[in-house]
Amino acid sequence: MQIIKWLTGTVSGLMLVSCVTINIYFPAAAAEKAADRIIEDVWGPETQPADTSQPEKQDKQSSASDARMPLAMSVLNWIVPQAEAASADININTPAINALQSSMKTRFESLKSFYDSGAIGLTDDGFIALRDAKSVPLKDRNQLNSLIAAENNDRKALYAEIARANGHPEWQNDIQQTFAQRWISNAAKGWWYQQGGSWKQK
Amino acid sequence: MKYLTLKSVFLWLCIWSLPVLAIQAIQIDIEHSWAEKFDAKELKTYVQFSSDGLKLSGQAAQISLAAPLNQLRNVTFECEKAAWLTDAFRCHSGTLQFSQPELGQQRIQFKIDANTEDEQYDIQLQNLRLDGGTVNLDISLDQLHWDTDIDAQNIPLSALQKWLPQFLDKQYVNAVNDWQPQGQISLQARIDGNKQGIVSATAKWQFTDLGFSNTTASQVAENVTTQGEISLHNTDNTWDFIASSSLMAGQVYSDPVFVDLSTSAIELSVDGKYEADSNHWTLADIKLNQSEQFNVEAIAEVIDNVPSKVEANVTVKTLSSFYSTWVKPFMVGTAAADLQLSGQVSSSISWSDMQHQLKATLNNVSVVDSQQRYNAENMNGELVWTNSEAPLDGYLSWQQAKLYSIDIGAGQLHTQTVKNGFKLVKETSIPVLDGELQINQLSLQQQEDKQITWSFDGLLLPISMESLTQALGWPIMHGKLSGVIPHVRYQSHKLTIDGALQVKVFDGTTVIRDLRLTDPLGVLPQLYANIDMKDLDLALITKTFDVGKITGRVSGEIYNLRLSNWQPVQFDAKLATSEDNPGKRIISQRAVDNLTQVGGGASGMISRSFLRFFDDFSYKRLGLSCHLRNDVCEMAGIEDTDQGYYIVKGGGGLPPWIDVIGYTRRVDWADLLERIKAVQNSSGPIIE
Repeated sequence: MQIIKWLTGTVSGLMLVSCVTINIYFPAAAAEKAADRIIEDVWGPETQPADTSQPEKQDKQSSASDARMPLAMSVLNWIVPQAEAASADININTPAINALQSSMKTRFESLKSFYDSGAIGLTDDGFIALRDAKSVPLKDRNQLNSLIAAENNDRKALYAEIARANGHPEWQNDIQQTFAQRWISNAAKGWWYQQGGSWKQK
Repeated sequence: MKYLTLKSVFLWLCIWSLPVLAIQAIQIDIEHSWAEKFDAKELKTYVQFSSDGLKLSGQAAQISLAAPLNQLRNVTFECEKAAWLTDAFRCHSGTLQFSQPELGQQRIQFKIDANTEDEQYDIQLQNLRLDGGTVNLDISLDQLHWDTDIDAQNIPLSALQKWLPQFLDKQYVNAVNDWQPQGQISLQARIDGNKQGIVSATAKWQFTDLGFSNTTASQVAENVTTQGEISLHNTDNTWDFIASSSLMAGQVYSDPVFVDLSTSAIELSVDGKYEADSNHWTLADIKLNQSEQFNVEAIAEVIDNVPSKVEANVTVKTLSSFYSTWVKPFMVGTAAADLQLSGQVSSSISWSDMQHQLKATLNNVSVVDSQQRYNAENMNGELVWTNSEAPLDGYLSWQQAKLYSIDIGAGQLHTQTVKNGFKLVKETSIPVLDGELQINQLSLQQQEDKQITWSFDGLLLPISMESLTQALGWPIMHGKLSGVIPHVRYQSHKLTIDGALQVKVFDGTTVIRDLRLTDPLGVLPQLYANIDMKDLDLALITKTFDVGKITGRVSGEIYNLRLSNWQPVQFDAKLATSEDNPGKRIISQRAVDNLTQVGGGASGMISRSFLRFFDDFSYKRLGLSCHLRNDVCEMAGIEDTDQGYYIVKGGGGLPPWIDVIGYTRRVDWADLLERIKAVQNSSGPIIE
């Protein structure tokens, strides 16, 4: 009897702990929306927004309640964390994020022609890289190298700051991956992006 | 010619002059002849005799020779005034015409002097045409010596490229083709030799419109004009040489360095010797000079293609342009990415047997970061670096400097460098604002993974809060900032300060602990700290911030503080009346109004009530807390009420007493700052 009691208590405890853990899962859908807002502001309306016809991505939180989940946990999810999940949001309105956004927006005026010409492209880890050096006159190479480095510094700082500002520094990689996808999805026709190590054109 | 078959040979005699009956011409027709590395078809030769000598001429439909010439078609040759003696042959005005796939149609003038008895030969070829360029050759040889003069003018590199497969393996040919060489070369050379090989040579060359690019375009030259010369002499397989070259026009990009040669030419000269038997280069005098930028004088030794010794002196002529061309491209994305520099720098580099040392002498060098994060003026000294165990002394002094908005006065550091690191050899004090940073220990080390770490121990001698707050653009505060800094470490882009900084401000004590700074000069510096405040005088605080007078003492904390780009974005702060030293607690009518506003109420309630007759009120306790997250300040007071929280609770001294109750729990941080700043638009407090 003692053993059954202990087991029940332990399992319940574990399930409760699991529920609490679910609360800090990365809110992917909210992050995508946040990324889109920033990207739209940085790149302006000229770049075509991504095709949004595909089903909206679910947060990782809610994905935890799929059919394979034990019944007890599903019940607990329903009771406890769903309300939290529904309110998951990503705050991107801080002075630091705004400043980075503004800096990137200003830089985009210089970078746009390089995106258009294919000299630079979007990497699959959320940064930009030199793709076709030949299309850049020699005298402009250093300026472009500086722009790329500055843009990547800003992007790295942006991903870290969004994670920190939302109280989850450990989200930095998830934020970066989300942005990596959204930069590419939002890229204008003709721009280049990396996929699996090779360059492709939109 | 080992074998010669004559299918038909016609000798005919032509009588030019009846009175003299003599053989005046001979024609030899050979339908097909071959020998080793020689194969001619339809070869016809003519020999004509005249008072001036022989006239030789001939033609062949095709002559096959060994590579690289291979097949010549439509060959004709002619030689006026030839002389053919038993031991000599001369032809002083010969013409050879043929067509060949790589050379095209050719008309070459030649001159031959051959003395078979003395074995002296002289052959001159002129006007060999290579894609618009011309080549003249003069080859002389006797029993002991030979020499060759080459004069090539405006030869397109593409013309030479076509010949490469004849001399190089396919992989090398492809490698050259990948670089897409363009341009023209002119060359004058003389090579002297004997049976053992080359004895001496001199050459002058000039490339015009030289261009090349590797496949990734990371190594590119465009429209470069370069000229140079070399002179070499061989004695017992030891080659003494003097060479010089200058790059005078065009543009070069070698990732990441870009040089516009038309505005800044580069000159190189080398004087040295090469001992071929031991594969040993001794470069006794290397001079490299770029106009307006730098000058290098060096010596080097290379054994078996590995440098064994290099010593170089570098003089930077114009620091700003040297930095722009040679340093800045390597600094993109760092704190030194965009600097304005002035002054003089010279340096010496010594490298021997895997040991290296670098000395840089600074003379009135000033540096200004374009993003205005730091600057330093009039830096002088000798910076040293070595990987050897033999210590080197160095020092650095400066007139004044600035880090963000903090002024740093004149100072100097005396260091000792050893094994990729240095340490301070004597304690030093650096003026910071009106105080001092005393550095007891400072050391820097380059780790094996090339990461730099440094640490220092020191003491912050009192800095007045007036000067600090003024520098930071904050409201002027009074007091002192001082503290012991037991250990500051910089590692992995993170600055950590052990120990605590003590701030004597507002007549109380503030202690800053757990200071941590990441990415200090980066895009978004992050500062973390925990702060404890003890018995601050509210009268001084309220006077400083001009929010109405409150007396009494408060204590509190700001924990989990994070400044992002020097702006607070996160903290758990609370400030409340000191329990063990509350002081005399009085709050003015204006302060009540303002506090109310901070708590989310409206102003002016007191002035509309009977309490307007009182200037001051006694209070028992006051306090306010703010948990800042996500740009929202979660506020609380000293005690909760049903719907809000007490910011001020009346009591303590003589009536009238007053309670100030806040109702807004969540306040937008920017809005709160605005409220504190503006102190307007407030509704009255709940007065009980």
